[in-house]
Formats: sequence, C-alpha cells, structure tokens
Amino acid sequence: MADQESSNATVTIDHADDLSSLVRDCVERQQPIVDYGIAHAHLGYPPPPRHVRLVQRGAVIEHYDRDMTLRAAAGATMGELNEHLRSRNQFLPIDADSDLTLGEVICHNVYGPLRATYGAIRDLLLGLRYVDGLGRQIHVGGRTVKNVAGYDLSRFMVGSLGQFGVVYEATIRTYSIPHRVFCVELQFNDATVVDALLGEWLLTDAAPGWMLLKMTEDGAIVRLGYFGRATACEVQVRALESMLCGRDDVQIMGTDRRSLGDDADQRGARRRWRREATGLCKVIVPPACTGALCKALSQWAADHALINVDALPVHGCVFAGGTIDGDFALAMDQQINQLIDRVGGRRVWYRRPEPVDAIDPYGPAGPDLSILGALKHTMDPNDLLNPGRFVRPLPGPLLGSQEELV
Amino acid sequence: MARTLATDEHPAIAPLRKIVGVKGILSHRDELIVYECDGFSVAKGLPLAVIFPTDTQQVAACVEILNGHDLQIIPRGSGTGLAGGAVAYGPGIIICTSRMNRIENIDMQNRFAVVQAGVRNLALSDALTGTGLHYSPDPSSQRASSIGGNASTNAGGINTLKHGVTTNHILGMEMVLADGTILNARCGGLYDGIGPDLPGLICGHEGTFGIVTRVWCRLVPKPSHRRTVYAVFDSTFNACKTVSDVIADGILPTSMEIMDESMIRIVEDAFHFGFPTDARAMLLIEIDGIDQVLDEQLEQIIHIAQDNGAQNVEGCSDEARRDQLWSARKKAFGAVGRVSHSYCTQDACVPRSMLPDVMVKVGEIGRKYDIQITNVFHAGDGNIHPILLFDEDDPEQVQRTLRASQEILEHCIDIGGTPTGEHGVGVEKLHLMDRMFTPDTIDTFKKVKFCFDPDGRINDAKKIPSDKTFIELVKPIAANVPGGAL
Repeated sequence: MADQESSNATVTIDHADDLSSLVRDCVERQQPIVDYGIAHAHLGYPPPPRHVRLVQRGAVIEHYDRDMTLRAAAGATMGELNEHLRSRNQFLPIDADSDLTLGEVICHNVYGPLRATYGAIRDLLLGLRYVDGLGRQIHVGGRTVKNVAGYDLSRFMVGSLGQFGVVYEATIRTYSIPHRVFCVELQFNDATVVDALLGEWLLTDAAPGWMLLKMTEDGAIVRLGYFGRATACEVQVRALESMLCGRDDVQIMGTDRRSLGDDADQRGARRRWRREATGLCKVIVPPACTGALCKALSQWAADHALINVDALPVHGCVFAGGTIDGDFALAMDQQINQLIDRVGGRRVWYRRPEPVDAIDPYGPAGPDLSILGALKHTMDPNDLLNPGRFVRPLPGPLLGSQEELV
Repeated sequence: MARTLATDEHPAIAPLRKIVGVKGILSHRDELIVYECDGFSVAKGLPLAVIFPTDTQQVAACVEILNGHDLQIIPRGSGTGLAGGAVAYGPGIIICTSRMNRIENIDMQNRFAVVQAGVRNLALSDALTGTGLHYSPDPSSQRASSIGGNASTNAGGINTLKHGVTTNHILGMEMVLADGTILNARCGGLYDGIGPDLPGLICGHEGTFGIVTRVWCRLVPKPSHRRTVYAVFDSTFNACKTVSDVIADGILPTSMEIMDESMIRIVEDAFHFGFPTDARAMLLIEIDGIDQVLDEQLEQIIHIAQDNGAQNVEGCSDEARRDQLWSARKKAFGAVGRVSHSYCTQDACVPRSMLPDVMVKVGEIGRKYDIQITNVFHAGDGNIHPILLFDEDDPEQVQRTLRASQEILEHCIDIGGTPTGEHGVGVEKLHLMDRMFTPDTIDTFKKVKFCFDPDGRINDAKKIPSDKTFIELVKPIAANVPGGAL
C-alpha cells in the first residue's frame, strides 16, 4: 500500500482485508476514498480535493465452467476475464471496453447493444462482496442462479457510482460463445422509421441479437447482429429481408459473417469516440422515442457543430457528444432537456467541457433521491466513498429536501 | 354465516372504515380466519382487521391512520406465499392489495405495462393475449398470485432458467412507506435510471419496506415456437448430470424439470399419464426459439440424454403431447396430497453441477430420519423442492420431519447454496439467516430496513431477524394444505 498520508495518494489494493483496513484508516482520518473508474472518471461532480485514489488489482478467483458462473475480483479487467473464459468457449456478454474493471462495469451499469439478448449486468450478477463505509466486508447473493435470501444489495450496487460500498468481488453468469455472428447494416432515410418498425420487428424471427443506431448526414445507419448457428442466422437474415421487402425508406447495405471476437472488437471501435469526446451525454427515453430524439438532436446540432449521436433503440439509450466546447455543451444540454421534457426521460453527462459547472451533470433529482440519501447515510455514514458524486447522505432517515441532496 | 360481533373493536378500525368503506374492511373474527396464514400454514396469527384499499391514495391514508397506533402493518397480495411472510404476528392490520386489480396501461410500443399491485399474474398474461408480448415470470401460483406479491417476493417459476425471475422484468415500483409517503422508484417505463438500482433492492423485500402499490412490468416477445424433450433415467443422478451437460454444451433451455422415482409413481397413480412406474427419474426439458433450428437442438439434447443412460427419450413438437407432459409436472404437488395428508415442501438452491450429489444427500437424510421424501424440482436452476411426507398426528414423526428439513437446508447452505431460491424467507427460514450471512451483513440488512421503516412497523421480523419483534415458530402440526410447508 502506498503512503496514504500524502494528498491524493494512490493506493493499490490486492486483498479484501487490505481494503477494509484502508477504509477504517480513512474513517479515522476522515479522508475520502475515490474510485471513479477509467471511462467514468469525469462523470458527475469532481472528487474532493484531498482524497485517496483507490486502484484494485484482480483476477479470476474461480470459474465454475459447468455452472457457467465466474467469481472474480472487482479489479480484473473485462479483457482479462474474457481471455480466461475464451478457453472454455464462454464469455461475459457485456459491451464494455477491455480495460474497464469488473467493478467499474458494475458500479456504472455499463451495457451496450448485447443487452438486447443477454440483459445488463444487473441480470448477470449473482453475488457481490463489498466493503462498506465502515470497513466491514459485506457478502450478498452467491453462486446460485436463484436466491431470495436477504435483501438484494447486489442489484442495488449496480449503477451506484461507488457511493455505497467498494465492490471487491462479484459472481456473475457467463454464456457460451455463439457459433457465429451475422451482421447486417441498414440505411434508414429517417431515424423515426426505426421507432415505427421496432415494435413489430422484435416480434418476428428477424429480431436482432444486438442493434446499434448511428446518425449520419443521410439519416440513420442501423447495424445489427444475429447470433447462433449459421442455419439460425440465415433464417433470421431472410426474415429481415422479407420484412423490409418493398420498403423505400430502408435499404440493406450489406451483410457480414464474423466471429464473436471480431464482432465485439468492431462494436468497441464504433464506440471509441465516446472515450475521446470532450463532452458526452447519455440520455434515456422511452424506446419508441429513440429515433425521434436522435433525429431532433442531430438536426439541431447540424447547424452548430459536428457531434456524434448513437443509440440502442431496443432500450431507449442515446449517447451524444464529441469534441465540443462549454458553450456548445450548454446549448446542447438545453436542447436535450427540452426533448426529454416532451417524451419523458433522464440524462446524465459523462464528460462536460470547461467550464463544467455550467451544466448540472445529473439533471433534476429523481423522486427516489430521499431514500437513496438515507441508504447512503446507513452504508457510508462518514460520506467517505466517492463523496458527493451523486447522492449525499442525510443526517437521518427521510429527512431534508431533495434540493439539499445533490 | 353468523358473524361474531366486534364488541371490542380497535380504535383504528373506524377511521380505516371511513377510508375504504364498509365493504373494504374485515374485522370480525370469523372473517379473519382466512387471513391468519398464507401458504405456509404453520405460521398463524389473527390480524385485528384486513383492509382492502383500491388505490395508492387509500393505502397511504390507511398507513397514516395506523401511524397513530402501535400496530404492525402486514402487506398481503393473494396470500399464496410459502414462507409465512403475510402473517400478522402481534397486534396488526393486514393491508390486502387484492382489490387493487386494475391494469392501468399497456404500452405496446415501449413494451411495458403499468399494473396495480393486486393484478393477478395470469390476468396480465390474459390481457396480452394476441399481442405477441407477454409478462415472462410464471410462478406456479400465477393463476392466483398477484404481480405486487411476485415483485415483493421476487417470484421464480418454471421458465426462469432462460428468461429470468421477477426482478429481471420489473422496471419500476411505487410503494407506500411506513410514514404514508409514496415512494416512486423508477416509475415511468424507462429501461434505465441514474444511480443505484432501487427497484432491484425493493424486489424481494417480502413486504418489509412498505406496501407495493403499482408495478411497471417489462414485456417481452412471447416465444412462438418450442420443443419438449421427455427422458426417463435409471437414476436421479444421471438425470441431474444430463441437465448440467446440456447447459455446458451451450444450450439454454427455458426449463428443465425433474421428477424422481417416487414422484413419478405418485403422479402416475393419480392421473395415469402412462409414465413408466419403474423409472428412477424423469426429465422434462423445453426449448424455444426459431422454429427452423429447434429440431437441431432437440437432437443435440436427445444425444446428451442418451449418453447419460436415458432409457427412453422422446422429443416432441406436438402441442397436445407437450401440454400433457407439462400438465403432469404442474399437477405433481396436487398429487402428493393423495398419498400424504401432510407434507413439507422445501426450497433450496445450489449450483447446478452439485445437483447430483445434493439429491443423493437428500435421499440419505430421508433414510436417516426415516421420512419419505419425494422430489420434483427446477433442475436447470439448481432449485430443489424436496417434499417431506409425514403424519401430522404423530408428533415424533413431525419432529423428525423438521430435523430432516433443517439438515437439508443447512447442507445446501454449507456447499455454497441458499435455503431459498424462490419461496422467500418469511418467518420460516429466519433461523437460517445467521448461517447464511455474516453478522456484518445481517446488520446491514437491518439498517437497510431501518431506512425504509425506522420504527419497524411494516412486517417486522420477516425476511431478516428483528431486534424489536421475536417470532418463535411453533412447528409441530402442519395443516392439510396442498403446497403447504412446515
């Protein structure tokens, strides 16, 4: 462990007991512990000035390959985990960059187009171990695929931004690597056509295993993939051709057969712009409004600057941003807020260009923030874990106004 | 029926009656008997009253009134729980959501439904008939159980192996807290939120955080094509190994159910499906997906079963035959009632690969305590349901049954499993929580409960041990309730 007395020391942790000790030491010193992750380092509010920066190392602890479950330390990267699983023809069906740790994936609820088939990390998570704000090691869930003993704090930690505990170990479901991936690229004249089609589309054999929408100057490109045996994929592609036959608002631009690894790499390359953007906003809307929101945002931005807009139409998730300055980000934020006011939705800024304070990263507080504040106070009473990042603790249960919390 | 006069009516009841109306409250002893237990008939407690609000505002108003009285509030859906979670211990009022039965909205485009908590699981499925979408969680109780109850217990079912349990299909929940405030946890039908997954925490709370009043349910495409495999084995061990081998081979069936030798005989004697009564185990597997490729998977499964010594394997796509096979599975619990007046259904879950050994252990424990144990279970999930048959008029046999149950559950915990995969803890398994969780984890659970219910007024001493209320189950004589457990 590094010298944590100095300002903003980085402490590398290998074992849960060391993590517990670190937290207890920090409680004594009233020194915040910060782990914002790699891809989410700029999400939300900046860390407090004097803090300990936590880095966890990790690896596969046990792979129960016949049960298709994996127990791993939170510091293991997705690349390391998938490398291990590949030898047993398994994988973690999460669209996450290979340098992200399992802990970051859980705490930031990282998901991508694969969610359409495999669910998000909340659906894969079976058990979790974390250290709370008092340094205690808490074990919830386990190795079994069904378990209703105790409260489901595993799922509660998903998307918690590391504010309620430091996750140090997780047990998750794995899946068999599909025999083949067939990818199809579609050009839509208008992104709102995707909204109109999707409901019926998902009920057919042409329902894709994954789907990603990308706005272009000419409309929208939708890339999608089918998994499984070649015969199954061929049936699905034919069903898609049949579904689109006679339509003049969408064209099949090409098809491609890949391995799962190549498929994952290509999706990774397409989202790389998000890591390089100076401003990045994630918007959640009702799925049937995804195309409309993408179109409106792209049309608005076309008059001002070039931004990237891509989306997961199945789940109503849109990412928008690029190399933008603070003024543009502020204007874009106002535009997004107007759009989501119309259809209902939420947005969060993953990265805000300077001056960052001009934009509230999370938007209006949700109605559940009061209870989250109480839970924060319970699980991290000294407010030392990623303090103030999203939820600030309440002095007592259900007290105080929501405005006081964020 | 003549009603007992309520000569000593609790002072809370009159104001509650004003809110829910005369027909919205039961407070006479003979009316309350029905509500003294749920499906776990050993745990019994007579509530002071049962109220039947029809909307969230009525629930909140009733809770506010009850705030002025030192009474427990016990949420109840349809009363199909199997762990005593809806039983009033001490002076308490049951808030029953069965009249909150409106499906408020079905949004086909965004694939979700908003339902009041009392909507029956099957009622939502019925409402979705012909749409191509369905609400996937399918607990065996789905004809009677409510979606609010399913969400509160994180109910499982037969098709959860591929499609997940209740928590995988809940987008948001509305809940009335102990102080009467209405908590909105990701209500609105979005597929993601910002911050921690509060609905994920609430799901499975067993009515200890508050009263769930509305649920946002995710709807998914209903599988249109399926195949069923029926395989007979000379040992439960081999049937269990087949389950593990199928999944390890990359196939993810929707369901994999096993009946052991005694259960096959019980079902066959009762319903005459034509099953071989000398078989040691029967495995039912169902797969769904694209019609053109299901036959290929079917063959793959049949080969795996044969490699594991299956004596008779049948793959079928015929709906009538499929219905017959699954009818046999679903009637299993009912058939047990023909051979034993009393039985105790357990609900442990273990890693799937441990099933063969666990089933051997269950047999050993049955022999050790001289208790007949029959088994029908969700093998794909590793979720076992040993059914212990006993004579309730024989106190010594009842005690042996209890000890055998305890030993099975403790063994499952000790090898990395859980004492409850889908029925819940309720009051039945409270005593096992200390074995399952560390003291720090139990303490965290208590503090989490405190955040929602600081005074311990909502269903206290259920799900987790309470510092305020101590429940000691008197467990000797189980009533003759099908599906009931000790």
